[in-house]
Amino acid sequence: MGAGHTHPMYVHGHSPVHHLAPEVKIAASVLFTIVVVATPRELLPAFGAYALIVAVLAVLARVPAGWLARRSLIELPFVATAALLPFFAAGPTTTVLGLSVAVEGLWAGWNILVKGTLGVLIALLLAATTPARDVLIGLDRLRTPQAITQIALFMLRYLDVLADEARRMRIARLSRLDDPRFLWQLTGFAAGLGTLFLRAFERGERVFLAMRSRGYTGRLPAALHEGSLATARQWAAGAAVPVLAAAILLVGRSTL
Amino acid sequence: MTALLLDDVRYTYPDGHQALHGVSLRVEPGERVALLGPNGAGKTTLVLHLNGILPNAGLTGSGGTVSVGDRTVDPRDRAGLAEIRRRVGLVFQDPDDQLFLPTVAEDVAFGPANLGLRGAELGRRVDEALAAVGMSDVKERAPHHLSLGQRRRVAVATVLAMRPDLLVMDEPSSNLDPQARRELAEIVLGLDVTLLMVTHDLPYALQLCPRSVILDEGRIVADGPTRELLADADLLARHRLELPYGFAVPVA
Repeated sequence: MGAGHTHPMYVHGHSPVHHLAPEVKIAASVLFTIVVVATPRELLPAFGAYALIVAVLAVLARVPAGWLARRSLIELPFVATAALLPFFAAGPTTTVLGLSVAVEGLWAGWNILVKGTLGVLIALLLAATTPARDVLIGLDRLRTPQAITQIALFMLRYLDVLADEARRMRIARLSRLDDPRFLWQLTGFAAGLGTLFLRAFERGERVFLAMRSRGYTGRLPAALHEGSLATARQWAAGAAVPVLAAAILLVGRSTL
Repeated sequence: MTALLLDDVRYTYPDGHQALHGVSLRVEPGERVALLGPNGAGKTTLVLHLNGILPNAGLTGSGGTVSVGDRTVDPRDRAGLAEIRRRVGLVFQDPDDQLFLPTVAEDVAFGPANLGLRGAELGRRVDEALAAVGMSDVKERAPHHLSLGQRRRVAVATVLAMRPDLLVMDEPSSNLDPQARRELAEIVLGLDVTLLMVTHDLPYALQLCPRSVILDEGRIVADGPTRELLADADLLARHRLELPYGFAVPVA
């Protein structure tokens, strides 16, 4: 117990975006990202318009800008790559702030940076407005293979249980004078990991038996989650985002 | 009609260990029976036979028949097994094994949804089962945010939602604090269902079940009124069972 919540990304709220059915949000996010990735990197105004769409969505969903900024730090490793490209790419060079950089590298870096950022932001908005469980329900309704959604569902449920077991095992080790300093901890930690794996394995078997006892035959019954199926209006609302982005792309291309 | 009839049930695990050496037992509708026995007596193995989880189809080394009401468990008959599993509700010892979905409501709905219920009818089943164990207010909570006592009550609700004829509970009182233990007993006493309770908590058996059977080394070694069995100190000692220190069977 007390191992925390399994939905650390969710920002609780009751905005129109929160109330959209999960499958609509997932489909819209994926399509939006595809449009963004398909946009030629030279089409600067289009990226500005995409950013505006994301900003409007964030305001609609009442997701704080600070939260988005903090969470998008996950992108940093890619940003580092993008920042290096102008210095290592070959080809004609130009001068920025007194530094000589490759034009091609500059464009490549910009390409990674802007598309990555927009993709991360839209994914964050999805995560912020959809509890993890609903994301899985949405994926299931979008015909994702059940092997994948069920594994993720179990992870969601049992991560806390496992973390709790690991914590108890560690405390038990400490109580028997295990030296908690980093390197010295490794032996005990590694052995503990093996034990934890066995426990998880055995628990998996018991969970499966308990499920079979209640009539499980390999598929989760759809009736469990039929409450919040997407309506035609929800699909239309969700489609507005990628359709708008695609329109921007088409208009932008024709002016290029 | 008999609620549960075991006839000479034998079972050998694939590794050669024989867990059940011919168990015969008869439980009448409405009876509450405690299945007592030390660790390793074969209690859990027996429980898994009651709804056809064991034996696996085509496995040698198993024998005998299990009947629930008018149906006999046949591992090869899938439709028949589904009906057996509706009739026999197993509540496992660790509620974390039983509750595997992210919210209590979904988990309680899992069994009846597998039976083909949906929509409003499914919702009513869930509400009814949670009300029966006094857990209606945790419906939308996540199982790992509940106390062990609450989780065990929800686990009972997950099988009550299938409206079983026979409720089988594996060590229901283990690790519960005294209050949670008493609350669970009150809930069980309030249920209108045939009960088979596996335990080595002898006072709990006395409180809940008028009749007890003792299972040891894969055989039924005693069957009678719980009060009489618990008063027989020699019998208990022979089968590694003991009353808690200071406990005496109250005189009726």
